Amino acid sequence: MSESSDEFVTDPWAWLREVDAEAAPDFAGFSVVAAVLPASGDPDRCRAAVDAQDVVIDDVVTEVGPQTPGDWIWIVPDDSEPAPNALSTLLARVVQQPDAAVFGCLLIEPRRRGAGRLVSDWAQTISGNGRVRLLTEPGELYQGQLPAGPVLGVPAAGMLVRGDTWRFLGGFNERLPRNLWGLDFGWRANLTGYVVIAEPEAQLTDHARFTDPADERAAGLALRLAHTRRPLRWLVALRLTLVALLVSLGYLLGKDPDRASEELRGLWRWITDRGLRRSLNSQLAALPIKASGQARTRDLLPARGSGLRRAFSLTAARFLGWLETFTDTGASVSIDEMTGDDFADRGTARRRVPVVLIGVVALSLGAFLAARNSYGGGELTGPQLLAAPGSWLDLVNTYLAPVPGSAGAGAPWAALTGVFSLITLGNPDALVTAVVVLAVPLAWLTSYRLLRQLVSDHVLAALGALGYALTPALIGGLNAASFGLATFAVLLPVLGYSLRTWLRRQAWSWRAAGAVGFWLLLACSLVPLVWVVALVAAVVSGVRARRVKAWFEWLLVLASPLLLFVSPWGQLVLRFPGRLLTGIEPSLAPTDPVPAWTVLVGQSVPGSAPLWLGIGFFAVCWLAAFIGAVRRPSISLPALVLAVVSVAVAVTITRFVVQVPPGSWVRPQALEWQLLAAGALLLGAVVGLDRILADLSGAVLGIRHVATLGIAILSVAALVVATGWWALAGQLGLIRGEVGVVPAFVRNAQTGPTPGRTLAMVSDEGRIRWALLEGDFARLGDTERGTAFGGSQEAQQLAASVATRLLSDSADDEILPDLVRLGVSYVTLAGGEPSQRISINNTPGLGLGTGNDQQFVWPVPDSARATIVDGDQRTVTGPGAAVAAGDAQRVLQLAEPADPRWLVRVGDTTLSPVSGASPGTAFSLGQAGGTISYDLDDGPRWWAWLQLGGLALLALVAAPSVRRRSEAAPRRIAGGAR
Amino acid sequence: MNRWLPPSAAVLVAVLAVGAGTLVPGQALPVETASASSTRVSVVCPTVQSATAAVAVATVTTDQTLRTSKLSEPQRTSQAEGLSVLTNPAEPVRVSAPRSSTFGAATWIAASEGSARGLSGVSCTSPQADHWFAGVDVSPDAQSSLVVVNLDSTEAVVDLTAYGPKGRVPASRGLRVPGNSAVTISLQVIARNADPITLRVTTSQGRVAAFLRQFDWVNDAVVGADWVPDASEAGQDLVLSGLAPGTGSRQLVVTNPGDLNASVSLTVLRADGTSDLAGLQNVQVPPQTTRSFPLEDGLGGQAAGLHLVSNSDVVAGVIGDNGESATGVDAFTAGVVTALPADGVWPLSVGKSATATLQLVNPGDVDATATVTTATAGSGAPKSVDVSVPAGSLKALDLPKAASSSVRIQTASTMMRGSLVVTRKLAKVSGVAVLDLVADETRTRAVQVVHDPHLG
Repeated sequence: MSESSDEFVTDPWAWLREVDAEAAPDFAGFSVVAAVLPASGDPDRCRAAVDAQDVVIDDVVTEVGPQTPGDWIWIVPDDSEPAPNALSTLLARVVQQPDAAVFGCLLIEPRRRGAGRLVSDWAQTISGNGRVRLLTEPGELYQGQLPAGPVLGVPAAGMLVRGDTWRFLGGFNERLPRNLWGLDFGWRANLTGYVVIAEPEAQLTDHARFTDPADERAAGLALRLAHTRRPLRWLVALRLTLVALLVSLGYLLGKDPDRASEELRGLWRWITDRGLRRSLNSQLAALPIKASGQARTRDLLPARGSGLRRAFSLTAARFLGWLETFTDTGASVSIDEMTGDDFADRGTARRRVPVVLIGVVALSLGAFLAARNSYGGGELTGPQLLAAPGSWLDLVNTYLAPVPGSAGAGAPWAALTGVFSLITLGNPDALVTAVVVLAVPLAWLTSYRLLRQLVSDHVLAALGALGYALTPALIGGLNAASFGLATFAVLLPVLGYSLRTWLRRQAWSWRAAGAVGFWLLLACSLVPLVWVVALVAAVVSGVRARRVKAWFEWLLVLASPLLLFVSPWGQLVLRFPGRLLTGIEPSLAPTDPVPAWTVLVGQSVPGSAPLWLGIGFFAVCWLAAFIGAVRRPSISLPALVLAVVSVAVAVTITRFVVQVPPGSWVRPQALEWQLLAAGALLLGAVVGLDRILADLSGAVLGIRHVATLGIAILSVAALVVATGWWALAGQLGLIRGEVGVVPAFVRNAQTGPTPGRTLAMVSDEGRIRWALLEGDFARLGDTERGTAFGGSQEAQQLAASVATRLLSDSADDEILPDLVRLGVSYVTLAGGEPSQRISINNTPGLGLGTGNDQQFVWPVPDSARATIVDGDQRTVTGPGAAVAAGDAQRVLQLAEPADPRWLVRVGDTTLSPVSGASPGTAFSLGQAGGTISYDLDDGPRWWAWLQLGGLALLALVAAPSVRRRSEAAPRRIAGGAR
Repeated sequence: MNRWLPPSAAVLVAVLAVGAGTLVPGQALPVETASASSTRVSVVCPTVQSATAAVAVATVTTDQTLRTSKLSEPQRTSQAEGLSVLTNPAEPVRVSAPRSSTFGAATWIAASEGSARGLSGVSCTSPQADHWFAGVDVSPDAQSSLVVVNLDSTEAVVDLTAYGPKGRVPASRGLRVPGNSAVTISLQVIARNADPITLRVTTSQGRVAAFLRQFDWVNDAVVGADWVPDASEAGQDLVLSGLAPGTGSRQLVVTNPGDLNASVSLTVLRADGTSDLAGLQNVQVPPQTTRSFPLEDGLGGQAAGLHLVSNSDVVAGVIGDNGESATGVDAFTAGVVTALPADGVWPLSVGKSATATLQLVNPGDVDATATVTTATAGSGAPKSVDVSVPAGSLKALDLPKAASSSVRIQTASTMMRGSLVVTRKLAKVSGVAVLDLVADETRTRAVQVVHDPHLG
């Protein structure tokens, strides 16, 4: 047998492998000098790693200069640790790309445990604003996805440079921070025609410490400016300065003062460090820059607009991150997730539709069905909802504008609603519609977000959130179109979420406290008494924390809602403290006493769910909360206690009648307290019953299983029936239509140049409903100001008397003078019997009525809100009207409450008040002539600016912030961080 | 600790809170009474022009001052306090008082001869848009006239509608009454009929106070001059009081202004209780007609009241006389009486020789009481007496004799009615007059008004 046969006996395919096998590269021809530079690292470790290279190194030096000899120079700072094959990999790349002169490595984060290599530093570029960027995200896990290729710059650590290139370019500019040596060197190399290659397979472990980001920022700005053509440098310098200032402001608004400070310090250092700028300029000036090099360099820089695109993508990512809070499990994790590594897949392989999406879509469809009565033109109204004004400024003005006579004042919630209606492009009706019509899905969304943080079972969280979201409908609040209740239902879980986020932090945070203060301010604007609950929570939390900082932060939280009282409304609340017990617009609520038991089962308001449904729903809530409190008393018991307190408060305040601005007596409805009680019950139930199935699955079948099954069936049944009722009859009280029950010419008279009021009456099933109308009719928020005549009680009583006398056929001769005193220009009667119209017709002095079966109108001659009285003669007038000079005894009568703040002018003459004309006021006109103007001079509204500033500050604090750098995270270079 | 205890305690607290709330009823809303209005109510008192008649316009007020003025001179007012009598005014008198005050006014006429022969009294009333006069005599010997008074400055337009035994009877329409004036409308234009009719006075513009005066001619002498009371409006539950005791005719006049047949049940209220009239327990009145029913046999000369219940709106009245011969006869007319107000006062000025009896009728199911206070002009303190009227009965109370006096009735009952029956010998005439005690405020329509901010 031949020798060759013996070879093929052992491996018949060896001949093929010999053909395929590549010859191992021979790096013996490379003469490499390793420069182990001192960098406050571990020189021994670094030297050992250099010595362990699988390529022979000719020499190891500890310093490099512009003229360091050697064919190849390998830069290795002693705070880095090259992999054993790092140099050989670089040399292999040299062999593949012999025209390149600079080769860079991939810097890896040191890891204590676990597999995977996280990128610390990589190929670099620089943006138009001087921000150094890596070609991959720092902290990314490297799994071979990075390609080798030409780049603008590579990290100095691990850089392999052709010797002649090094000496030609003069080495590194050591005035720059070390992180930017490689970028600067590579940039100059590219400009002069050399090619810079980044090789990701050549890796160094980077043990370098964090550097000052301000220095790196200054260096980035200097680099950017140095590489700008001289004629444009002043322009670019200006742009860089402005951008840096804007970015700093952005970070400040994003509640990251550290980065804002870095931007400003970097900018300052760049401006003041002339030496750096000069050295960069002189280095560049000495280079023979080629056009081809410039062109290639331009290709290696980020494209135009990439900065903006990056900003958009970061913002979108931040927004998506916020959205994830609705689906994230938060601190609630399963055992699998706890035992997995950082990259354990939390999801399943199957694609599922998110619960939040299902819930929002389904409930939104249900909301549109439930509110089917509200489709059409006009404004949304309801039993406890007046139409919103046309623009957000009108709502804000409802709050700011003074009320003559000071019987009433605008409430802060009206201004807040106006400001928030900017979300709906300044249309308050759209905001009100969105909140009231979509109250259930919005409340579900915010409450699900909170519950999802507390429990691991998303189905349980969804069901609990559904129960909470349906509560406003079940207790009749949505049929009553209670805007305050709908808003409170959405707001309460948001407040809970921010409170939980704040209290769960390891360190007390002013920012988080400010956010809680913001949401609490909004909640207190709707239900002032919530502040007392916050006070109790503050005491409990402060005592448990036993830290001074905690107390001060709670002080901030409790002080925030007090901003609401820095206004005339606050002073009015001191006069009418009963307002603190009610929600918004308490005058619209029913006044009949309600039995206490109805409060317990949500039957206190007309339009609530049927009695059997209310009893069943709340019974299930109480039972589930009770069981939850037994099972997990640590969280569920306090929730149960909160529910009990809420019920007690609701029962108590509904026993009383209180006086509210502008002086009317009302009965607190306590709808918000009923909602709070239901929310607390559901919170206790969900948290208390979390993972009960898992607990029972290993137990012997017994009474607990039966009870659990029973409570589950009851709960689902209650929710299903409640949902069905809500969709069919839960929001039918919402209607949409034109505001005002008067003809167009009467409406025009109310807003015309000589505005007058309208005494509107409607015959309704044997009784007469009346109202005094003015302006653009009573709108959202006006009941707290007084809907007409400044809310004057005297005028209200007079108007009631006139309405009674008009229809009781008394037809006394004082009716007409009373109408004139009220500033009434028209009397209208909708419906009614012919005898009632005759009664009004018989009123002495009243003009003949005209109309049809639906409505009759009677003009009141010579009557308006402003009239000039000259003896027996009356002339209507209005603001902006011209008045001729006349007799000395003329009087200008205003059908407005007397108020020392009235500033009435005719031309340049300020008129003095005279007595009489009650409930209106009068001014001596005399012989003066000119243009009439009258307004309330309430002085500087410093309080409004104070409130706005405080609110803006709290809103800024509560807004999502930029994601900050974490000290424990992999090192970032300036500008490359998120 | 047992884990069940704390949750159980919490639930128990909730139950106790609700229980405590159940025991404490909700506080009632304060009754917001309107402040005293400065508005005034004006009533007009008619008069007659007769050289032989003593016309007395009597006014009385319990608290505030009244203003009186001539109809044609509303600005020239005189003040009147307490009981005041204006004798023989030349024109109707306007009496005004604050709306909140308790006051009354009436015109009393006594004459032994002449066009106003007899004794008659009528309440002064405020202008209305609708008046009913049941029992208008349109016999060939009768003469009646309608006095309409317009207290307003604007013109009023009056329409007359007459309901006779066989249906509607042509009557005048579109009669204009200038402002601040009185117009006397002769009803002789209405076709003569032996049976009485009912006259309805409405206004298509403005409002008027209306008074109907009628008398009979016997040969050349006027007999039985009297005022027909104003029933104000038709109804299905009517009470008539003031049926004077004694002989003479008593004729019930019922008018059905509707479009369907009216079935009217009739009950007599006497001092000894409720009773029916034989053959008149239920009477039928065709639509748009007036029917008369003799009552004298059934009443037996006793004082009585009548309670009518109908299945549709009707109007009723009783015309009667004193049963004497032509030389001494006098007529009276009793009309529908609304419930007495809680506090009302009425004046009398009929002379010291007159005998006045207060008839209180209680058609309700429960006993009613009233405090009757009488005061005579210029003498002593008012005298009060509590009167109890059993359910379904009548109580007569003789009043002190005085030239002028007042009767004040205060009652909590919402069912009690009253009338003053006055008799007086006027030479040969045995004068009899009935004054229905109807407070002017009860003529006005009760309206429930509620403030509704949603209207805006």
